[in-house]
Amino acid sequence: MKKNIIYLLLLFFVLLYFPSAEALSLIGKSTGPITYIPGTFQAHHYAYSDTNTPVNIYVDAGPFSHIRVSEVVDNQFDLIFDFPAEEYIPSGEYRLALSISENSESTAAISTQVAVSKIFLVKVLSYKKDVNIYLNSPSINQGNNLTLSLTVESVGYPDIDAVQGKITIHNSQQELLGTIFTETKSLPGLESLSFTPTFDSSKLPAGPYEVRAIVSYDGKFKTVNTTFQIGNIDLQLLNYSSSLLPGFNDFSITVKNNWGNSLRNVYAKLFVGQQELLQTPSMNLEPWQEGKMKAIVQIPFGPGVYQGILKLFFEGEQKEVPITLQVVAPTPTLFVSEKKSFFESFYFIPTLVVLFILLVILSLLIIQKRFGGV
Amino acid sequence: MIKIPDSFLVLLLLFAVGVTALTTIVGLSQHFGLQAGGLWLSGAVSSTSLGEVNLTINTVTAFTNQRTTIDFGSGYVNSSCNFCGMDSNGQNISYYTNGSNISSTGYAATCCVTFNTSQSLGFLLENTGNVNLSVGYTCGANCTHASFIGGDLAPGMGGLQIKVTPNAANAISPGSWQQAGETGATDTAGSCQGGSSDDSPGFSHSIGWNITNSSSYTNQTDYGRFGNNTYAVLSPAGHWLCGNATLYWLDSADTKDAAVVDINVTVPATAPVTSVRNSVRLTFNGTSSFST
Repeated sequence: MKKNIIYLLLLFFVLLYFPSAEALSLIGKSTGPITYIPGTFQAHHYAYSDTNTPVNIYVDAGPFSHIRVSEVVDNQFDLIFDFPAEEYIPSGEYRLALSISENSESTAAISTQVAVSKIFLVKVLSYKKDVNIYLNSPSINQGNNLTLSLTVESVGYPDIDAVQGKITIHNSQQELLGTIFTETKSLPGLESLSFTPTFDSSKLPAGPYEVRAIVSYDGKFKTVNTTFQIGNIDLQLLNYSSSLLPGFNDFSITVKNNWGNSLRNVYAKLFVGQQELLQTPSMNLEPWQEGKMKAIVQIPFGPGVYQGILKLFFEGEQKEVPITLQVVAPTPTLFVSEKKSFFESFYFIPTLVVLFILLVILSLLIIQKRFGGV
Repeated sequence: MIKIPDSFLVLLLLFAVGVTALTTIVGLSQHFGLQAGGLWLSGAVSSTSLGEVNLTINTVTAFTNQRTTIDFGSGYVNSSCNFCGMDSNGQNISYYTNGSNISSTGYAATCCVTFNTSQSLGFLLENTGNVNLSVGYTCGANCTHASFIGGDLAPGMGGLQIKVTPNAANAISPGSWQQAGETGATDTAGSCQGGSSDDSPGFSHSIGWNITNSSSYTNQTDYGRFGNNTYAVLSPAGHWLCGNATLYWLDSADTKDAAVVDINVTVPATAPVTSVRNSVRLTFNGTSSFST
């Protein structure tokens, strides 16, 4: 009985002097930026936890007079973004905050409570007619036609009566190759539309091209440019190991598929004079993909500059690319061991343990023998 | 006569063999592990198949304070003193009328009579959620020295001050120490390390807790140490401590998610005697971004 009282007293003092803690958690999904659309309504669900004290939940809604918190049930509530059609909010970005704070009482001279807040970003778009435009022109194979994609996104609340695009195609010398006018369409506020005109590029040679688009919308204009490639069945050499040492070397070759289809069985051979020095393993390349082929090459020559040929093989075809190889004299370097010392290695402690055990066994056997044990 | 049982020797030998075997297996695993996927089962993908899992990740904005009150109690300033200085970290100062200022720890503060000077813990703040936070405080009730304690302070005295120290020993402030009790693992690195880690002049938005009321992050005299382990006068209007409304620098990683807030008060001998208990009510706020 006496013992129990002592334990109870101990528990009492521990509870009395153990530092108390405050905690508060706000749990919910991430919203990302919220676009203000008059006449719409959205609710985001939240829960709070980790506290035993009453809490205050409040929202700093800035100029939005109808953003509110729902009734709290089982520590859960909704944050309601109510955007009435008749409410005018100036264009801009607004940071709002949902906060929960403890509402506890304390008689201590210096006391604390914790609060957690979550920021919300509400974007109020333009009340004028405004658009973002996006132009996509895919790279194609020689002999094909080009299908463009011009997207016009309204980023203002008013409807746009007439949207039209003018697209021009230019070669690498900036010469005009053709012009396309899209049809004229209306565009409701905050919505988007796409034009997908086709350009006859079947007679154009392989190479880089540029597309320029001008979009007119109710008397205003915006422009956007992009580029595309007309490709042929070809493998382009982009880079190779040009500086080598006498003897064995890592040799790498970077190539690009210049075609809008896969290239299979891609590999390369290196020749200097009539001597074949290496053949890389084969690989496949996706449309327009770059790839690196690696192999080990033995250079049987001394230092100097040598002219060679890289034979590139792809899809049963081959092309030869002249290259220059520079064989340089090896630079003597000091050998630096990266090995860990034995004492730092994993084996050190187990070895020590085993040695210790063997020592103990040996000692026991000696003691046993010396003192006559059997 | 000493008789050592054979079974004991066999047991020792078996243990030695076991250690050797384990060492060999681990050694082989380390040697071949990277190439062959290891001798152990691991999380490495060895084959793939199609499947569909629906999962909703919630963000948790969670903030913890491991100490709720600091109470220096009631008392008076010794007649041989001008001021009694008390700190929640126990580092008290006696300001004697003869001009000597003597620092002491705990009850040895002679100028502070009957006050509870044996404090040793500050407010331990911790980001216990899964998103980064900015941290600030607001203050309610008697948030100035005049309203909390009163009396005349010497020039340069703060009176009622606050400081923040990352809760990792020597991580940022030489000599800083760790306060036990973090909810997660104890910090091993300085907290509130957002922005650039470049210490060269001109790099703004750098390291540290900002408690000095410095409004400019480009102030090079304060550069990189905006209040780490430095006292500032408690602001009745509140202040950001780490990051701000758009920068969320208190990491959610367990290794760097906590800090200790200490309070320092100075009681002048001229402080009015009052029967009304004055109080300071601090609210520490952890704020997360809309994008997390």
